[in-house]
Amino acid sequence: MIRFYYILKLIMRGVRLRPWGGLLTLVSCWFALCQLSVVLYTVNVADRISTMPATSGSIVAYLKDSTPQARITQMEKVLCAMGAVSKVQYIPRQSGLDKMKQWLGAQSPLVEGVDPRILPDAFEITLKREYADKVAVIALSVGKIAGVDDVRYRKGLIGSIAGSFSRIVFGASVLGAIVVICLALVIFLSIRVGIISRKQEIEVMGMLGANYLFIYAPYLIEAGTYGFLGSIAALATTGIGITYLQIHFTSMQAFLRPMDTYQAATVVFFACFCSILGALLAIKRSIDA
Amino acid sequence: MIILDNVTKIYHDTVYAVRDISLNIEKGDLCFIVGPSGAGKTTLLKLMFGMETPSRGTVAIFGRNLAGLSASSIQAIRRHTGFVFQDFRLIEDWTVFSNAAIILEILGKPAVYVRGRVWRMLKWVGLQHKVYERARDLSGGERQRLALVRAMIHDPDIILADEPVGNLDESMARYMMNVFLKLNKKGTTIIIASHRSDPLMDYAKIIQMERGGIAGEGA
Repeated sequence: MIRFYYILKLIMRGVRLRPWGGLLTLVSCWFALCQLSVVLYTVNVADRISTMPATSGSIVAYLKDSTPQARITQMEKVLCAMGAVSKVQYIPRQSGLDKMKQWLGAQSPLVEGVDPRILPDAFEITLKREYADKVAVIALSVGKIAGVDDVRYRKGLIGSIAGSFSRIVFGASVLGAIVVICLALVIFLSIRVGIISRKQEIEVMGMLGANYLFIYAPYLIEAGTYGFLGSIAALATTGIGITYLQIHFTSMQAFLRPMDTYQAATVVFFACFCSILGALLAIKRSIDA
Repeated sequence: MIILDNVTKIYHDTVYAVRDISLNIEKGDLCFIVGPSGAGKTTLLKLMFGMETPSRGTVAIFGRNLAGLSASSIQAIRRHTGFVFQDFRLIEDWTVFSNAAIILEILGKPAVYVRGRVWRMLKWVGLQHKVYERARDLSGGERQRLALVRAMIHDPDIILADEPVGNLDESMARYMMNVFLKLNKKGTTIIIASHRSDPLMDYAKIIQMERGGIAGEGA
């Protein structure tokens, strides 16, 4: 039976042997995982934007004044029947104003003191993600429905981001994969150096009958620790960054939110997984040699 | 306990380190492998320890053929065997205590037991005042004593010793050889490779080696 105490002792020996190497590896992990967190935040932002009103992921159809309720119900059915539409929500003028206050802030001069009666009723039409590129065609057909006064979609940069959601997700996945590979490589190199610098120790332990778990567990734990601490530090750093942006740029509050718990857990899991994978590769290399 | 059957070890396809050796070492045997330098004593011990694989023939320890065993099974056998290497194979960066304790740690002994056992053994060979010195700072004789402690500390079933007293002064060499004899009387199988004669040989089985082969056997 191998006691955890001895493995910890071996880890401490490793730390004493290469303190700066360990610190640099941790910094590298932190840096790589900061990038991974930023990539996830980017996807989050794009996701929120794509579901915001009047972006290319959604269409706002403003209704003519004095459209009767029966006609509104009929229009809603027509919109729901469209293949590209995933959700239709009727927004009476008061709700519209409330939403604008929510997006822009209640103190914004654009909404403060505005009489809701001057606003039109509207439909907020959310498109299915795969139809985001065809928003112009869909908006045209929505505009032709009787009772629709105006159709709005795409608003500058926000609209472009929303329209490029699938491309952003693809790009983020590629970047994420690159970061993950880099992380595994950094850990692989660090652990490989650690193993080489303690080659004699490993050889002697092998000759004395130590099994692979006893010899290499410290390296696996070391790698997992790099991944865990690096990911926690990266999440904390990016979290602080996002909080700063939220406080100082109120207009970004609508789409800039803290990372979900499951996303944070995914970052930590992937960091630990990739670190241990890198360490396993280094150990396999060492055993093969 | 250790059976070698027509074992041959060839290096680089041409150098015969060990040639057609058949041996049967029983449990509790005290055995000396003697012969001049280059006779193949070290290779023979390494073959018994599973550090070398025979080019031909079979080596069996505890009734198990090493050729058919997995790496983890060979490691398990090593944990019950003590080996004193000719070049000591100490971990140079580690302290005397850590070097002596490592095999007990590998066996998963409790820390309290390890501490007590290591102190007792180091005191026994006169290294108690060097406990926290690094192995690289020890003299040749001290290194050899530490290597002996490491081989014996876990009460192995077999001790394989390659020139175990070569670097010790006469009195310490005598002392260590008597220790081997005592351990053997307790039932430990001891195989010592040596190029010089020793009074202990009177109690031992002698295997005379020459040019990789057995030139003679006797008691």
